[in-house]
Amino acid sequence: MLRYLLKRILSLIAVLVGMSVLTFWLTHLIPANPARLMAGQQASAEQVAEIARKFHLDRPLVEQYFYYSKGVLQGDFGNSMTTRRPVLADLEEFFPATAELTVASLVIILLLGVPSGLLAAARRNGWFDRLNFAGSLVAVSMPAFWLGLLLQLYFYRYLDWLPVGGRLAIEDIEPDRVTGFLTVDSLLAGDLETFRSALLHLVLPSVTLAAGSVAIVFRMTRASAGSVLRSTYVRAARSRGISERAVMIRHVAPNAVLPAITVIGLQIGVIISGSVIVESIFSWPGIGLYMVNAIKYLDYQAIVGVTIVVSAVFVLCNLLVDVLYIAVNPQMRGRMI
Amino acid sequence: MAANVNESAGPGGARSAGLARSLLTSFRRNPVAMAAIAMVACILLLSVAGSHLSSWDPYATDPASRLMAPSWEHLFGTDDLGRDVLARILAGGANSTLMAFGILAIAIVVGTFVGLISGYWGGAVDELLMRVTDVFLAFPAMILAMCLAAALGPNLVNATIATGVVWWPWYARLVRAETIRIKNELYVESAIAMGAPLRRILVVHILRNGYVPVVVQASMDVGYAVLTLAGLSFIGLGAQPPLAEWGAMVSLGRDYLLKEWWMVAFPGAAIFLFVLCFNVIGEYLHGVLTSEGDG
Repeated sequence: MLRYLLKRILSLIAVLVGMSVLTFWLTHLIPANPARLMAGQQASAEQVAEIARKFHLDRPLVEQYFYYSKGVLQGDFGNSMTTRRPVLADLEEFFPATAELTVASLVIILLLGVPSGLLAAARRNGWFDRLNFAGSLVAVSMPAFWLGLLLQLYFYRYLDWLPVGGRLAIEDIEPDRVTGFLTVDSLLAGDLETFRSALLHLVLPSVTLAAGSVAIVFRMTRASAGSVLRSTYVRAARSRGISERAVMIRHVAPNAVLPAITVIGLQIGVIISGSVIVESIFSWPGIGLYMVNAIKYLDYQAIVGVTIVVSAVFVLCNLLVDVLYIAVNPQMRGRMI
Repeated sequence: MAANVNESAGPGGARSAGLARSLLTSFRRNPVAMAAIAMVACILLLSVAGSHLSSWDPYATDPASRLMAPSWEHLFGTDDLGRDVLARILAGGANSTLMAFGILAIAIVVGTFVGLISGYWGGAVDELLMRVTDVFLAFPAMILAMCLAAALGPNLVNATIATGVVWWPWYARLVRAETIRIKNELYVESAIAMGAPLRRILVVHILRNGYVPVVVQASMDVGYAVLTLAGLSFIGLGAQPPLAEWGAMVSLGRDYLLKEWWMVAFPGAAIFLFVLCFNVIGEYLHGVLTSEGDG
């Protein structure tokens, strides 16, 4: 296990370096003069040149990359041109919102995707299976932005059950920041009213974000449960007269859930991608919205920073999922030591 | 790709003909897939005929009839500049279809090229190319696409290129795996022994016998390609006004959502139906081709 981990971490570092090079190079294709943008409209040519010198913008790109990566290793991602603050400070501020949304979506994905997959596999071609299978096709074909807007239209405009966007209503008092998760922080502060509001604000964005992935996890669980159901040990269990319910719970579920875990690792990438769109629909003040704004104003320091950090989180999540997979899979344990 | 399936000459020919036949019979037995094919045919037809079908000009603005609700005159209503929404959806169909195939073309051509080289030569070349695909796959797709689209400059063609660039590593891996599997087959070895030119070995012997997984993957990817592209357009990195494109139309309608819902509902429904049809077809192609290809 240790050797495997070490190998994975080494390759992860290589991938991260590659990603940072690619991102850095890409964003420097953006046709903008960063020194001019930093100096402002009224700055003279000398002032612009001065800034270019100060931030090594007059150096060749390769050299610039080394200055940049040196900064990144020291926690300096440069300054955002739109917020006029260090990119890292921006990321710290906006990250918890995205994390909370992502976690909420993951909960929905697990709670809906896995059990429905198991149930559908248990009664293959039954009405539940057919309905869910058709539903999963619909869910993966739905553009997230369209789904989000329709949900807003229905649950806000017509029913007026749920808020249209944001993390809290204007009249709510934001709880002291502990974790950055408003649901958790409001509970810690003992403010149930704010907790309720935070939870209600979370519903539509997280459902929108989860929809496609629920379908994928449903299918994966259904397929793997199907193959487990055909295995000899299930036949053996049935022949011992164990009830179908017990077979599903004791024999099929634990084995069928494993492949679903690996899919969830990949879905984290899908969720991060989706959060860009979902956050801009629901005015959710997270990394995705920050990225959209950064792109709108060609704020390339912010773009590079977000891309590197978000991708690093994604890569780490995948590593975590793989390690988890090995940890919970008794078949893998012996092999990886 | 369709031309490839119907290919009847060359070593892969006999199986291809059989494939086409079994595809046909299988589709005939499957009403849902039939319906999806019919729908896609309709969509393609509408995209081609597009702007000729509506008496309204998709680009003609008319301040007097702005934000009109759906009526017999304007079936899907009008947008903020008084343009007919239906006419714009019809005109946008051609864009979406073209761009979807553009994305796949880029991804398949680049991916196949890299995958062939990587799988056939192996060794250090393979190692290097696969590490490069690792880097591309390590990005969340949308984030990389956004970065690329922003770097190239926001317009529909660049968004297409960006999405294609995000997609190619999947095809590279697929083709590489197929190439490795096939290159050790006896007929490839004998072709090498007979001194067949490299191009012939790669194209005739390896590609013609290994394209099925690529077709399957492509058929399942069309829908996702359209969704990603529409997403880019939605956040302003794809089609620029006044170009009629579904994602951009939904984005425009956002500001009017709570009253003028038709500006969001209809273009979004067009994307949804388009993607749904391709996904249904992809699903059945996947079922039929994978069992055929392996057998």
